Amino acid sequence: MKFLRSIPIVIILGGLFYALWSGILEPSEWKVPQSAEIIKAKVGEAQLIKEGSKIFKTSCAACHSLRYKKIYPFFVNAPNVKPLFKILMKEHNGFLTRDVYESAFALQLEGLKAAFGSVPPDLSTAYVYLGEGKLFNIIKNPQKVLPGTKMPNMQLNDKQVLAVSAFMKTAILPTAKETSRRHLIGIIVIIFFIILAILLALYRKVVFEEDNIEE
Amino acid sequence: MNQSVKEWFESRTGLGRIFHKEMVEYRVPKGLTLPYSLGMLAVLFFVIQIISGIFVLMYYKPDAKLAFDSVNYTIVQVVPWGWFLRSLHAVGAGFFMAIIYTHMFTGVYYNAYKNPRQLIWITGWVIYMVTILLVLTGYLLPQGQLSYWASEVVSEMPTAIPLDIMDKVSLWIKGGFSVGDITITRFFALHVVLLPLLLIVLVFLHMQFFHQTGVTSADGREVHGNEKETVPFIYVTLKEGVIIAIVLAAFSYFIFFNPAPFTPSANFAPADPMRTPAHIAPEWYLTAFYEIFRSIPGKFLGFMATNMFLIFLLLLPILDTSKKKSATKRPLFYFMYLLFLLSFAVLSIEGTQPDTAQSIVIGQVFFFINMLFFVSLPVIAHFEKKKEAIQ
Repeated sequence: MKFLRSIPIVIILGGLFYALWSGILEPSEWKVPQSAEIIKAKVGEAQLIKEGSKIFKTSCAACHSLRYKKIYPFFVNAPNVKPLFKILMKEHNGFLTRDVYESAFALQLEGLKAAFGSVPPDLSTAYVYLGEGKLFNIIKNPQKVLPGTKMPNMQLNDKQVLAVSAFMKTAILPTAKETSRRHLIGIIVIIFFIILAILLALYRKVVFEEDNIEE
Repeated sequence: MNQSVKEWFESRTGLGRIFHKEMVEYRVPKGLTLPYSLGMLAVLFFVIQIISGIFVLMYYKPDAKLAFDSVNYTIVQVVPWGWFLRSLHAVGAGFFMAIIYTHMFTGVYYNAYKNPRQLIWITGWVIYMVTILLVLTGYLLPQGQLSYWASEVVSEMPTAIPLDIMDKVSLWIKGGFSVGDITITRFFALHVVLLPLLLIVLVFLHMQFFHQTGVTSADGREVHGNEKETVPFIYVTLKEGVIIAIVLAAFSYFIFFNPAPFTPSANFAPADPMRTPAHIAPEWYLTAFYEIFRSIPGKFLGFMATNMFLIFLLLLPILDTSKKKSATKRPLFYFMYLLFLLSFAVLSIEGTQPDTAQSIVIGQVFFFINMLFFVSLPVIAHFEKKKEAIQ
């Protein structure tokens, strides 16, 4: 009877935590088209990342930085900026923090702002905050997702868009190899705790029996 | 040799005596179930937060322009095992809050606020408030969009009270007219020094009061001091150990496989004071309050309604005058308790959703149900007393 009373409580609290932690409350408005998903499966992530790296460096980096991958807009190659950029890269080990980057290249960033209405954002974390679906659709057709944006349509095909997206993912999320490594560690740790729970339960039983303790 | 070393330490530290007093002399009721382990679990997760927090602190930079990168790049990508420390701290915070809520709701179920345990309840309530402040101040630190706007909303909260001084209070919290560098250093100091220290003292008091009055049996009987119905605490630690190991296995799943629910994607966008997000919601442990706040018309009324939940929680020892302890023997109370839990769950879930006319109605209805629980307590107690008198 006591057990029955706890069932509704477990259902309510369990349901609450499931709803909050399973992600079902945040359905994504934008999706990667089925045709692109097929291409993704066929080409493979490693190949897409390689291709995406090239496209990003030759197209997206015209305006955007990807600081977590140490990629900066084309303006850093201008003759009047390059010496400073080289010194900064050397001093900061290739990664320019936001304060250094924004203050050293304030003029150039203002120039981009004048052309586009706002400074094209750094895309290091964009894959996560936009989500794969929205990011795909922005790259494919910026005006459709961001009405009024001055970001040009780069006329990339589905495979190229997927490649850029896969490359941007590597700036913030671990690679497939690293993810597998973490999962493997996770499995070992979880098994350890489960075995520990079983051993403790058995030990408790023995101790309770030996010391004649009622449950 | 061993014995003499033991005696040498014992005569100088007295630790063995303390261990004996806490583990053997201190007795708890037989047959304690999972809910009784929640206090211990909360302490464990508090310790996990402190340890992971210390390591994260070694690389975190409390600066408006550096904080975001120090979390998402330096800690997660550069520092060896930094991703683990960050996940440990973020997932740990979620688990800590989940355990605190479950512990609190279990306390309500077992009527753990009644005589002579009022002080345990009050210190528990203060711990809950300090923990909320702890998570709120911590939430600003990664300097993402959610961090920024959530802190902006929270620091504007006092202005809901129509007093001139409240504008100054809001200004004092932020250290300026908007959330910025000063707010971060201010919240940082509170998050890493003052609030954890306060929490340690409060947890110590909470445990001391708990030890003083003892625990009731699962069916609400006072068995403190009754040797036949109690066992030395050390036996219970074995049972708690099993539960702790199972919870840590679940915790590990989120750390190694799925930390995303505890690191909201919207917070991966750097804080931008010039761009208000289309939809913003606080972390799940505050969404019930947020839902109440936005569904009650008028800023002041919304603020008061939000606080009513907290005030009524504190007043439980006064509101519930029934002498019976534990919902297992109180069917009316049990029914209202389920409604209370359900309303809290619905408010928490609805608070994560965009603000619509429908969400306002849901918020108002379930806020009413939630309040009904507290208001019904004296009436339930009256009925129970009447029934007892008849019997």
